[in-house]
Amino acid sequence: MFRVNCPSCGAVVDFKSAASILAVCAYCRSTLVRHDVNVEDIGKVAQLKLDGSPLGAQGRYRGIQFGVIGRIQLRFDQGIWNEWHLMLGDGRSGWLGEARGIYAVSFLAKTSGSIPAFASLKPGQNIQINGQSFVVQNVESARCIGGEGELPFQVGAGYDAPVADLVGDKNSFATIDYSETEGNAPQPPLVFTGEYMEFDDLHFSNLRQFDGW
Amino acid sequence: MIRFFSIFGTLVLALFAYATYRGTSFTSYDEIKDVPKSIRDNPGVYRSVYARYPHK
Amino acid sequence: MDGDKPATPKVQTFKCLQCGSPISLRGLLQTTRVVCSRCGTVIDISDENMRIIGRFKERPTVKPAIPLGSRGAFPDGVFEAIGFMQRFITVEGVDYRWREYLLFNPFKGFRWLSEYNGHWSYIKTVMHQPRVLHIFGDGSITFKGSVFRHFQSANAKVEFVIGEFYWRVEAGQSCLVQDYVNPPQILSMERTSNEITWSLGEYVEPQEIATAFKLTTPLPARIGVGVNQPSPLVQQGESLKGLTALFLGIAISIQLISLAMSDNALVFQRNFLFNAAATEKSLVTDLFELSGRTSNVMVCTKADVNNNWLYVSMTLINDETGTAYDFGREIDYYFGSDSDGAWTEGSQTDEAILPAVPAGRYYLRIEPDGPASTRYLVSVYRDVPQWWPFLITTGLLLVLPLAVFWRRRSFEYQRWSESDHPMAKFGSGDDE
Repeated sequence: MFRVNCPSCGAVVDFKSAASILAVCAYCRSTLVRHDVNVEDIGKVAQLKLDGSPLGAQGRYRGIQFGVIGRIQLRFDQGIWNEWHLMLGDGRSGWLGEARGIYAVSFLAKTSGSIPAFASLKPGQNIQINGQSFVVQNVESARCIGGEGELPFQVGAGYDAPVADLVGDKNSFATIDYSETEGNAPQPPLVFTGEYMEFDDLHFSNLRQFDGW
Repeated sequence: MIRFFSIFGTLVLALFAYATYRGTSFTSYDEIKDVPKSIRDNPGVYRSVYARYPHK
Repeated sequence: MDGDKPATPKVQTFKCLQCGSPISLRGLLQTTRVVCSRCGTVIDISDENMRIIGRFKERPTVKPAIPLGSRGAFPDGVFEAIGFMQRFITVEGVDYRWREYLLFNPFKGFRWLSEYNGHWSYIKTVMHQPRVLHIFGDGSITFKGSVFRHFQSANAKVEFVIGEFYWRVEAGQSCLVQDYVNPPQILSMERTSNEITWSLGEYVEPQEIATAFKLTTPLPARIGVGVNQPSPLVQQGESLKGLTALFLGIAISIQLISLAMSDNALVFQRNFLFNAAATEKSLVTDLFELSGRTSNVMVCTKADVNNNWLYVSMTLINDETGTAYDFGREIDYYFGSDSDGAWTEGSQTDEAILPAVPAGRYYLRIEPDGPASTRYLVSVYRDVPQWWPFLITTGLLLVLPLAVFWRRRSFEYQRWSESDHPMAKFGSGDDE
């Protein structure tokens, strides 16, 4: 684990996961980018919209413990959703997409074969990812409005996140993130694959409390 | 309902088996006891105590 | 993240931007729009700057049967009713209206309760993709291994709305809805321009809804058969089929055994002449043997009557015991022809069966009577096969199964009567 003092306010900031290259200081909200042995403060991120999302702590995915170590919040035209950055007991870095009580765990996947351009996607369309069939469920021009905790990539003040969610057989889930395909140094879209999970099957502990619930 | 039907069906089948074994009929008839042997010689003498007219 | 616990969002109340009446927000910021119950104004609450989006001119004509804010316990958690709407479809000029309640739990998300004609379903969004089956030719689908039959496709429009929602509700909004049923489940697809949503519903008895929400006012009475209402007598129907098959099998076996075992032996046969002018008309036959177990005896009389009749009074007498069976038969036969053609009435042959006659030596006493002299043939058979007992038994055994079958069929007929595929009134329909 990598521990530093925030260059801005001096508070202790941990990078629990080797995959994390960025962490947001919980106290002053400075974004710290990790460069080998030291960190660079690249400015402050917006306070996340304090929302009803209940997550806060630990769970178990298919028998492997995980901790929730960071999140980004994205807004689309129907509202907001969260992508929680997970660190799993076997060292993997994963994501838990959470919106309106629907949960999907996914991991970055290496893809062979080409991924269609964002502009060409339509709900109901069939796409093959690594030999598996998926159907496009929704296509959103979302916007990342902020982050907290540790993240495996850089998130600045906010960025456009064109995203498509797909569903396949037996609750399998995929999401294609086109946020890095535009701009100065375009990257191919990122594909994450995983599955939809029921709340109970994630065995959460240490959840946030709610008035009356 | 299943229990009722089981009992009902079993009874019906039992009755059917018994009736088939012994023979059944819709014919109406009268059973008379102790008909005297003299009828064979003189059939005109016989008069059924229960004679009804007609039987069918 | 682990250490600090930010302040938990509480239930917010604010004043409607249009009319000022108080609006409660229960969705803990997971909802994006709220409709004021007093004035119908739609307010966007997805960020701190609340905006008026539009207005529902239609004021609600019904009150929600489940008051908004009440919580109900279901097998998968406790949920609070936070939104209510009435939608309708128009089929052949007739509007069909139903109501939906949005339920919320901060951890488990959202559920729906829909109510139509007093029938309720508990609905959850599903991510699993159904496969389209072409076997039925009507677009039926499989979902998680079960077949769902297509019930209806229609354009659903929103009539009025109160409370909160997690998507864009607007006046005049419409979407394509397709329903597939596999009672007690119903699979619905809703399609808008940029999203397809599948949801799975399960039929819930109104009593369970009332109990779950501790409702005091009675729920609307049920009319007809619900789209996904489970068929009554399904379980009994299945066991009944097996039992009926077993009973019929036994009945057939008994009949076959009896047919095989019956002797059908001709033990006596003689021609007689009835002389109408004679003074003493009665006669006795020679002795004949009735052997075997106690069984039936058939006395067959064939008389030469043509447009005439002959009455024979017969007595079968046991020569040893003196027991006798006394019976009389009328044999008549008429024929002719009229404007419709040739006709006949009656028969020249008569068969009388005596049941349970013990073995022994017997003779017949015969006393004929009639208007004219007639020749007749008397034949006596021992242990003849019979069909009436078998037919009556089969009839009795089938009464209950047929009644159950009929009830189930009429239930299904009612179920499908409002669908895109109504059943034919008579003739082959589909079960379940």
